[in-house]
Amino acid sequence: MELRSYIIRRLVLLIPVLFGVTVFIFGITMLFSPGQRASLYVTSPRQLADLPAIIERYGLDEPFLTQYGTWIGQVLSGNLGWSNVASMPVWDAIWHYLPATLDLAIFAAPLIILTGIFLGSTAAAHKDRPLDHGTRVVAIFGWSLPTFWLGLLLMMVFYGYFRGFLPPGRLSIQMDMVVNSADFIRYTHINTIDAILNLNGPVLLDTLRHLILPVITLSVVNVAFIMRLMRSSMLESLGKGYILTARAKGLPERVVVNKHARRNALIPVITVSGYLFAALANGVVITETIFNYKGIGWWAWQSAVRLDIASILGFALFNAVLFVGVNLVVDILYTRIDPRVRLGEAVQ
Amino acid sequence: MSKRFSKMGWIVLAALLCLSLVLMPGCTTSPAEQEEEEEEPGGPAIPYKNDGIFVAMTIGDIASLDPAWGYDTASGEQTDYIYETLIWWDGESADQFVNVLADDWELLPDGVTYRFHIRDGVKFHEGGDLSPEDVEYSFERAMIQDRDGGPLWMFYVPLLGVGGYGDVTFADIDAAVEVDGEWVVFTLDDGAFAAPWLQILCGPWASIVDMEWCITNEEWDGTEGDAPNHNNPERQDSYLFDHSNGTGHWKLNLWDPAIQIKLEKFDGYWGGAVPFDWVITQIVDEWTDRKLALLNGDADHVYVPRQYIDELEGIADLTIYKGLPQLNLDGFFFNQDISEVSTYVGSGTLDGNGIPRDFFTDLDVRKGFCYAFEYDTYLEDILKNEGEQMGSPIIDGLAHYNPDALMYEYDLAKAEEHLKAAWGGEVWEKGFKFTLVYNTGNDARKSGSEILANNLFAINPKFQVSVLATQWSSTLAQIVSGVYPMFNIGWMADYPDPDNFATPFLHSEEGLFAHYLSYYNAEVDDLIMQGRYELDPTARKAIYYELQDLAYEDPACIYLFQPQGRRYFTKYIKGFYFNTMIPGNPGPLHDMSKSES
Repeated sequence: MELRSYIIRRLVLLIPVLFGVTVFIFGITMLFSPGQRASLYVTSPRQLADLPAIIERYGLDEPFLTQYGTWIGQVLSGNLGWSNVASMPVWDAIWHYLPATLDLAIFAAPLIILTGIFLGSTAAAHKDRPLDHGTRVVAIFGWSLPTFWLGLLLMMVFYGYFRGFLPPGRLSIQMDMVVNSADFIRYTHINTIDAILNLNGPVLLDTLRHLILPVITLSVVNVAFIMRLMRSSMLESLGKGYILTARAKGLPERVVVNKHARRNALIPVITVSGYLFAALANGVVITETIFNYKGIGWWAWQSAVRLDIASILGFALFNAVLFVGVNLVVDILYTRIDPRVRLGEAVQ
Repeated sequence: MSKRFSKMGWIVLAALLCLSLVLMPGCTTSPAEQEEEEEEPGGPAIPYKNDGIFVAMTIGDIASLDPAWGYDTASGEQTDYIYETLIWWDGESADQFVNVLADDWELLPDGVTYRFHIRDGVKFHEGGDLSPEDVEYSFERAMIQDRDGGPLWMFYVPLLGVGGYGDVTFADIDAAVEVDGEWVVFTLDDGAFAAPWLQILCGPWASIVDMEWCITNEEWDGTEGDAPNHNNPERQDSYLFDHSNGTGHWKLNLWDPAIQIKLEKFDGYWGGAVPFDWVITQIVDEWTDRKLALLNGDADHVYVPRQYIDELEGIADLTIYKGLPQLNLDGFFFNQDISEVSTYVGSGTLDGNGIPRDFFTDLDVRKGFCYAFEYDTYLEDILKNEGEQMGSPIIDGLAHYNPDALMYEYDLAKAEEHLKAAWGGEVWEKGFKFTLVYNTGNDARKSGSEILANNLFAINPKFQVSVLATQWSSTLAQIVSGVYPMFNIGWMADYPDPDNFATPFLHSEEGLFAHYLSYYNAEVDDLIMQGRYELDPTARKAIYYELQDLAYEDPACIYLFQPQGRRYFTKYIKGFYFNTMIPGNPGPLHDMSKSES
């Protein structure tokens, strides 16, 4: 199948996926009473008396199909609704919070994936030796650490003890002034990229300084997952006949491991890495909260807690598109790594 | 296996092991702990940073920058910085005022006509000149907007004697506020509102906006025909939702929702020098972030939840203001007519596995519960001794508060006595089971609820109260639907008048809590209405004293404590004073300053 037609087919399939996701989530939110859903608009006991009026105004006691139909009609006209949590339209909220998350994901995902691949390969190549055991113990230790605990600990050390060395947030007060000034063009709202495009070294350094701790936190916690997968996949590859052949031909062990075994072991890792990136890009709630790095995960969490249904549905749509997109990229990557794989066909 | 590969692996392993040792708790003393051990009394020195910038870190974003829309503390705090009112609280006083946009005012002998002379030479941020017409427009625009659940009832009731927009004609609104040359005239519906009206005028809802600027930006155009288009809008439909143009010390630079609000100095401010070039309020949810930012000098002021106050004790470079009286009161409310669909009442009958819908109509039940609460423990352990027990909704700081009013004390014997008498002895014999609700995240309410539940169980093991946390979003809706048999919630002052507390707690029809709890006491209702309209201070005092006695005799809830608050600043911030009617953090910035000395 041609790449273009494959992509079109996948994009068409996105429509029923989005429909299913929205029906499911809309259905779940309907389990809450109209009064509970109206509470989104109420912040104080003073407004108790207005709940019935709010229910009527937003049609919260209408049948499911009516409410869903109204919402889907808005969506089809390009209006995802209003996010009360973000105080802006849902569509704007996604683009408002996504850059912070992408700033994190752009640095954390490669670090996690490359470190995991390296450690997994190393462990497999030294199977049942101290290096294998040690690598696994350390990785699993990182995996076992609660994110909030590790994040707070790192912050207390590097922001508390070292007196402001690696602070939370996205930018310092001074650099935030620069970024929000007329002289600084916000091309993407991803601070690292914008700083490079504006050739602004101080903003870039300040952004990186703020990124170090959340990226380390995410990496320490997640690297074990990739590492274990890579190790088991490598062990499987190393047991294959073609590896025996390669060794029998007298190839150096480095070439056998790096060129013959590792490349073939990468396929499951690529699959998982794709989902890992998608998971990071749709937000890491705890890390974003602890480091005051308010991204899309923080927004989704707040929306869920406050029953901000328009935001929840908007986030679900975004999530579905993201995962379908990542899935598509992963499928295309398969064909580049494993010549046996053909688009639209099962792996042989 | 190549040697190079193996060596690299060992290096990585060693590095990771070192990292894990650093991170592993209990293996070694952390640097922070070492410093704590070696630290001299006085704590770490806080560096001076961000000259000319005031940085506050708090929780919770604003709802709107439109002064007529906002009714929450966070919104009011920001609009107070951007906009100004005719008069303002005089320092710490809640009943004395200073002139702001009015430079003179008078109450005419008829007792219902207020005249305010509008100050000359005042500029709006966008360059417009303040005029009496702006003042008239500001009040009428707010009254026309009158959104659901908003603050504008505070204009309607005193000016027109009705609850809101739907009860009046445009002509009524137009006549309530008039321009007379350089003066603006308000005509009250009743002389009883003369004193509260001045307090209401200090609130953010009474901020003055620029009429021309508003009309240019498609706000209400000042005509009757356009009024319905601007009544009860969605908050984002108001241009002033995220734009502003006041006369205040600072003008809006950036509102990055849920992240920060940046205000910059207004160079054309009529009142002289403005103390900070920038005022930045950052929304930081995590307490550790806020604490470390304060100690590193990255924040000048942070919000400190009560459970963390011990962490900031003894730090010399902090200025801590303690014992600040708050005009708010929490209570455990008894629902006397629980909804039939409630799932919080067990079996729904008095059989030991539930309670009937009218369980709390029995006075002995309510009194027994009041005696079963450990007030002193709550004060010491939860409020850290920073609060004052109240026996009624007329709390300290309001006119006609009776410091000697009767109040319940922790007395299990009396609790037992009342509970034995309740429901003809059936309660004691069969026991009960129901769920007590508070809102998630409020640790004080959680602890208070557990104290009450444990004490009731101690009186009689058949008394089983389970404590449940619900999301705030659910809590309010469930109160309205009447499904909670008992819940813990609070009330904060709109303006410091006893009627603003007596009505919501106790008035059977107008009272928010009383209404939804089906609390009814004809004598109480009558006294509230008498108190509202009584002009003679002596007679009014007698009414509210009697009301406080009745609130004790026929409790609508277990009245808890009027808490005292704290404010935390670095030592570089000077000039803070506390006014109980400015509950937001960090308070009156226009009178404060920041300097390294």
